[in-house]
Formats: sequence, C-alpha cells, structure tokens
Amino acid sequence: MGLTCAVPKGRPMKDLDAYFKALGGDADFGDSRRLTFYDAGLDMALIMSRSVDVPTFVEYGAADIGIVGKDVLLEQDRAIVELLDLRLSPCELVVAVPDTSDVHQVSDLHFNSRVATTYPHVTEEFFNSRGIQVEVIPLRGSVELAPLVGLADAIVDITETGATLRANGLRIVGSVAPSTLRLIANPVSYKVHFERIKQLTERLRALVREGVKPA
Amino acid sequence: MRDTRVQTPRGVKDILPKEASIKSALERRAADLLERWGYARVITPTFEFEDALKAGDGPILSDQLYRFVDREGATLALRSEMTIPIARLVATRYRSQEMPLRLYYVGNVFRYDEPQAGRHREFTQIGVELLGTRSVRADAEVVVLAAALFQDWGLRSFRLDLGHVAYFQGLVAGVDDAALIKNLRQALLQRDYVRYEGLVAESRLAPKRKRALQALPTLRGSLDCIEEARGLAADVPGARVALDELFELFRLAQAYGLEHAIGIDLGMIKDFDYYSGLLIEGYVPELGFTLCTGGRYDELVGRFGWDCPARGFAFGVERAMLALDRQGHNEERGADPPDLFLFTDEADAASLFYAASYLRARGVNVALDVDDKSVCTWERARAKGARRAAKLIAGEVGGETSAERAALRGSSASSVWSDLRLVLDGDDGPTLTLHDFPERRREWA
Repeated sequence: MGLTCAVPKGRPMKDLDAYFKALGGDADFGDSRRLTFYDAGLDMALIMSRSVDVPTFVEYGAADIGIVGKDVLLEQDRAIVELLDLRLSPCELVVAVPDTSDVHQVSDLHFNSRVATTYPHVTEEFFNSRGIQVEVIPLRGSVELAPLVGLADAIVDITETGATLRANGLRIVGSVAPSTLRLIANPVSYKVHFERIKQLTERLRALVREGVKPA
Repeated sequence: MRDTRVQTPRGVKDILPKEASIKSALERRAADLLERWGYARVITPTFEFEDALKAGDGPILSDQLYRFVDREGATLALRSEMTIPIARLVATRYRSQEMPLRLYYVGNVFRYDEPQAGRHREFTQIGVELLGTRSVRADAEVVVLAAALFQDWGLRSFRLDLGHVAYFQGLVAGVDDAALIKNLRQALLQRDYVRYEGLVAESRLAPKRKRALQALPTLRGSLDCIEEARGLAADVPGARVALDELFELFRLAQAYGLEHAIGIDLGMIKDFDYYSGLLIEGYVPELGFTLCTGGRYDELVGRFGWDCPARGFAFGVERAMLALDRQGHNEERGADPPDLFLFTDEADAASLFYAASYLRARGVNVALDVDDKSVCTWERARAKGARRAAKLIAGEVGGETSAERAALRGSSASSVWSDLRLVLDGDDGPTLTLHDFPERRREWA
C-alpha cells in the first residue's frame, strides 16, 4: 500500500521537486490547481496543503508523512515524528524593528514593547526564556506592515535573505531560530509502515548528503 | 461574547444516547473480560489532594492538572490518570493482602491539554494493574490481556509495541553529562529524531556508544531488532537485562498465538516518569494515535510508603470507539430500540401503567407514552423508534378491527400478548391492539 504524503504548496514544493525527481517521482506539480496527486513513480499519494496545515494532516493520520518547515513545527506542538532535516528552503526566524527604532538588540525591548508575529508561541517562549516581557500581537500575515503603521514596535518573522524586511524599512536585531524543511511522520504510520518510511528516509538522507542537481 | 450558559467548555462534550450506548457497551464488554481474567474493580475519588496525584508525575503531567482549593485551603486536583491513585490505594489499604493483586478500573480522567487529534480534556480510561510480583510472566499476562481486549472489542489488525526503559537508561548510564541525557530523553519523547541524532553526533561519547544511540529510533520490528540491539549494546549491562526481558515477553506472547500482533520498539519513551521497565503501546493502522499505553512501574507504589512492583495498561475508551468506527463496527453496536411503544387515546392512564407493568414483568421492553393529552396515532408511534406499538382502547372487548386482531394473534411473543388480553379484557376492561412495523420485524424475531 502506498503512503500518503502532505507537502506544502508554493515555493517549498519547487525546492523539493529535484528530490522527488531523484527518487523516481513523475508527478509534475507545476502550477496545477489540483490538490491531490497519485505519483506512480514514488507509489505515493501527495496532498498539497498550506504549509501551516501539513502537521495537522499528519497528526490526524490523514497523511502518513509530510514535509514542512521547522518554523511551523516550532510554532505548533504536534504529536508527530520528526525524521529528517532535508536542508532545503533554509531561512531564519528573526526579530526585526524599523530602521528608525532605538532598539539595537533584543534586550532593548521592554515590558510595553509590542511584537507582531504569525508565530505567537515561539515568540512568547523566546522572550520569556530571556526574561523579557513583551506584548505579543498575533497576526495571520503581512507582519512587516505592523511596525510601519504603529501596531507594533518589533516583529518576529521568517526571512530567507532579509530582502523583504529591508524593503519595508526593517532591520534585524536578533535571531530566534533557523529553519529548514523537515520530513515528518504520523507516529502510528511510522509504526505500521516502518520499513517503507525508513527506506524513504534513508534514500532522502543520502540525497541530502550527496546533493542533487536542480532539475 | 460566548454564552457560557449553553456551551460546554473547550475539550469536553456531551455524549448523546447513540454514542453513550456504544460507549457503555464497550465498557461492559471490557469489564466482563477483565473479571473473567480475575481482575477486581476499584473506584477511586475523582479528585484528591494535589500532592497525592503529583507523587508520580514528571513536570509534564503536573502542568496538565486541573487544580482547585477547598474551603480549608487545601489544594486539590482532578485525577489526570488512574495508575497513581491506585498506587496510593494499594500502598495504604492492601499491605497485608495475598499477592499478586489484580485490579481494574473504568473512570474519567481530566487533563488541561490543548485539545487536538484524539485529545480531550475529559476522557474515559479502562485499565488494569497487576501488582505485588517482579515476574516477567506477570508482564506477559498484562501484554496478552491488552491483546485480548483488542480482540474482544472486535478491533482487527491491532498491534502492541513493546519497549523497555532500561535499554536507553543503560546506554546513557555513566554518561557524565546530565544536560545531555535530559536533552536526549526529551528529543526521544517528542520524537524529534533530527534533534536527537544531532545531539548524539555532537556529543563526546565513545564511538561505540554513539552508534548504539544513533540506532535507537530505528530499532523497531520483531525479534531481529532485539538481536541487532544485542550487538550494539553488548557491553551495556542494563541494556542486556532489558533485551532479555523483551525476548522472554516476545516468546510468551508468541506461545499465546500473538506473534504477529507484537512488535519491538526500543526507541519508545513515555511522558510518565514512573515507568521502570517494560513499556507498551497499542494501536490500529486506521487511527493516527495510540489506543493503549502501559508498562512496568516498580517504584511508584513505594513513593506512597510501601514497596510493591507493578505493571498495567490503560485504554482510552473514546479512542477505541473511534477505532471501531474507522473499522466500520459501530453501526451494529447502536442502542437496542424498545420492543414496544405503548400508548392510549381514551383509556385511563391507570390501565396504561398496569399494562406497562404487566409487560415489563414478562421481559418486554416498553417505552411508555407519557403525554397527558395524548393524541398519538400509529404514524406517530412509528416515529418513536420502537419495533412495535400497542394501543390501549377503552371500552368493550372487540373494539379493534379484525386485521389488528389477526396481528395480535399471529405475533411471535403471542403468549405474553394473549395473557395480557385475558387480564385486561377480564371484566370488560380496556383492550390492547398491536401494530407491527414490518421494516423492523426482522429484529423482533
């Protein structure tokens, strides 16, 4: 029986494409609007979902395995197995403030600083562990907007090159955590399909080690 | 704003009749089975002193306790699992009893958890504790009993994975880095194998020990993985004990005919700190979370002042229901409809109650029309869900149509019906007419 794998739509999927091809996959994700595929080459059903939903599909067992950024896993406390660091889509969760701000390091933020983020749990934990009390403002997206319009003094957001932050007049003052794509599994699927998942993990591990040429 | 008068809090729910009947049927079946195996039921309080409930926990579980303060200022908490209360009970009330002791429980537990996949804040656990012996055979009894419960509930292709606390403990024994051990444990517990492997790789452990630790997440399967582990941990005494015990357990389960249902998982770690040996996880492929967990806990009872080795398991009843549902079972386990809906239009209510009493005494399950001004019709009676309906008619015998009379005479429980007619008809009393709902006749027979 083939496995079901939840993969994130959009750019992470493009990064993954070369890996899937190297494993013998033949589905062409392209810009199709379809949300499920059967990939005969991989003998795997693929579910295309939003990145933040991948852990949900996997935790409930709707998908046996999934691929998702570590940033998403850090934010959601999910009962899943984290099997492998695919070293793809490297990026970083950072604290950023407006260029004009007199905050130059994380510890300059104080009890009435407001921090906007789509990662409220990670943010809360990050500041708590440093003994810094801030007010966390959860947003669903466009976090860069918050300091520009006076909603927040700082943001915690994911960035790859920092270009979006700079374009919005923001400056990085600290790092929260690095993130790359991870291979995850449902705990029971990992038991039931252990040999298959182990084999897949080992093949991917070899690809990570040796690298694949982009398709 | 939320209207808290009409809503239930997050993580708890009402259970309506159909679901409730499935649930109690499962609980009854389990109780019957456990009693056949010689286990006696105990019931402990829903809330206790927080200190008593925390005697066994690591920090993870004590975060999940629902706490409150009583009028004398003592801190109480709702039980979050059943093993700790039973350990307290055994340590305080069973010291002079003949051992081993076989106990079981059915009860609700409460956890202040984030509700998600298969996790509620109140749920029912059924489980056993087998106390007062260190024998591996007692461990094996508990393992095969867990399997018997899966079978008795009709769950197909279930699996029980066995692990052992001493394997990992043996591998890290003597490692002079408490923080590393703690982090490794935590990574295994969270099943974050990426972090785990990173920690092992960066550690300054001997290469041989590193190899054994690296292999842990993938030491799963059957007897072959015990053999593989023997090779990896040949120089680790604690690990050897664990592997010998698991081998013996596997052998006994095999003799019991369960070899295909038993697996080994040496990377298993539990979030209760009281486990001291065998670990058990039971599941079915259709459900993404475990149905049953358990293991050996030799020091827990001792924390209440009396040393007593023990082991047990607990099933989540709601999860078992979900698993049965996924395997397509629940439909046939729904509530039994009543045999008969009994109503009247004109006859005196006293006759109605008399008729109900008469029928119930003869084993007919009667649902009574309790509407004071009944305008019940056969059509409405059908909607009540009973297999048949009966109508009491006031006045002289012979008020019914010939067709109804025929239905009455031809009924399969005819002796009860005709007796009732005789009695009711005795002195020109009310008479009873019956109506069959043909689509339900199958069940009636």
